[in-house]
Amino acid sequence: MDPATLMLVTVVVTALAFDFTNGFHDTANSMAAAISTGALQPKVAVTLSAVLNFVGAFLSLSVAATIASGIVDSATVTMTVVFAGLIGGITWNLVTWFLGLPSSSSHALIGGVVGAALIAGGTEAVLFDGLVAKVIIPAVLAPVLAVSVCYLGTVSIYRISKGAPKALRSSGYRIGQIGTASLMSLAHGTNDAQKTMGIITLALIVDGSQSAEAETPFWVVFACAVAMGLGTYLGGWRIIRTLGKGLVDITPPQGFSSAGSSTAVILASTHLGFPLSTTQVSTGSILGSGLGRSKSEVRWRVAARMGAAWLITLPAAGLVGAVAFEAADLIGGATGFAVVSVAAVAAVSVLYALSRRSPVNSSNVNEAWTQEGGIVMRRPKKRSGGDDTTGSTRTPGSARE
Amino acid sequence: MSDYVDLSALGSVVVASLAGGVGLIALYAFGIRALAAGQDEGRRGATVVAVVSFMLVVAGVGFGLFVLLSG
Repeated sequence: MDPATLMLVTVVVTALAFDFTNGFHDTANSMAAAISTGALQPKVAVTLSAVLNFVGAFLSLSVAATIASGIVDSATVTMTVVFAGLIGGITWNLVTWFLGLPSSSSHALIGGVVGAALIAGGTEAVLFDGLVAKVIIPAVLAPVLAVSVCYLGTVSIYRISKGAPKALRSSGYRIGQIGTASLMSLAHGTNDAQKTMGIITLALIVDGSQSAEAETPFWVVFACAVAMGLGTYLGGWRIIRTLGKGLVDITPPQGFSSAGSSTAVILASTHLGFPLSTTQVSTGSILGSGLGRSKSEVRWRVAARMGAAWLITLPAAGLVGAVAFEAADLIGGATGFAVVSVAAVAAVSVLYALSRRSPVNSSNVNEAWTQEGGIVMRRPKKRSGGDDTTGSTRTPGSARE
Repeated sequence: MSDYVDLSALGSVVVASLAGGVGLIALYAFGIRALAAGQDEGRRGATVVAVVSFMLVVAGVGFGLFVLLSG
């Protein structure tokens, strides 16, 4: 294989790895509430979400959004910039996963590409107007819109169904929640898998394997759908826990309204050409559902940590992207790509090893939230044994309503 | 600000979000309330109203997806 092909293959594999982290980082967006209210068993929830994400990826190909178009000067976009940007996005996705913080995967990717482009072409390479219009303003609007819509939705459904017996409300909203969470998964697959399709298509165009006008090849769509589905199935349990238990103790009506509002906001904004971050919208909705129920407690410390993570996503991923670009560029060619890939795999392994000290998985994802240790919960000191067989899953918030 | 934001697109997003995220959800809640009335008080009409509400919710979701996918 000649060096250029080797570099293209590395970029495609890295892009699929990013897609995979995007999937498991965002399982929480659609399923955290359904898991925490017990509407769905954790494993069932991630399986359902994975299948729907896979299907969703095929639904709409019209956008196949070229990420960072209008944000970075297209003349600067080389294979190395795309590669370094992906490394930045993956790294930040994994750091935030380790900390149990939901943060936008697209912002991480854009940050990485912007950081790499800054090193590659200086400040002229970055279109700051585009950055403000396409990233920063939507990032402010997304949570505001989601909080408002879900607040109104939650207040309404509590008022409307007030007279209904508790048991009926509980089961009615759990069933509704399965519906809204499924729609949300479908919307996520439709929306987010396209980012990676766009990146791979961009790499093919830069490489000259494909003309700029050609459509996204089917193998790209299929590979992205598979990577997204597998990532979702793995489930980012640490983030599911933060969103499902940490931010607000979610009841079935709140879970129903939050997934409903997230789906509506995301689908409407994508369709009308005003793309908002799925993560920010679903986090905002859960927050709104907490505000909309009078007896509900919103843990503002957790919300503040998330907000802080959102603020530093762009610069942090940008820094990693810049360093990755510099390293790959200095070493040069396929060797540079290989060295940076090995370094990235090493960093991922360290994070994974660290995460094993306080594992969060399908068996303990619903344990009561404790403040000690911050976001990352300590493993309950009960029977040691298989990860998935302890009885602790039997404590969803089913008693509350 | 309007140089950076397409205000008419934003307006449509707000309206569509409210229709789906508040309207359809409230309709579902209404269905649950009607179902309860039908069960407890034995009112046939209420059960029919509940079924119609749920069907409208499903139709609303279907319509939304249709507009999206055909657009």
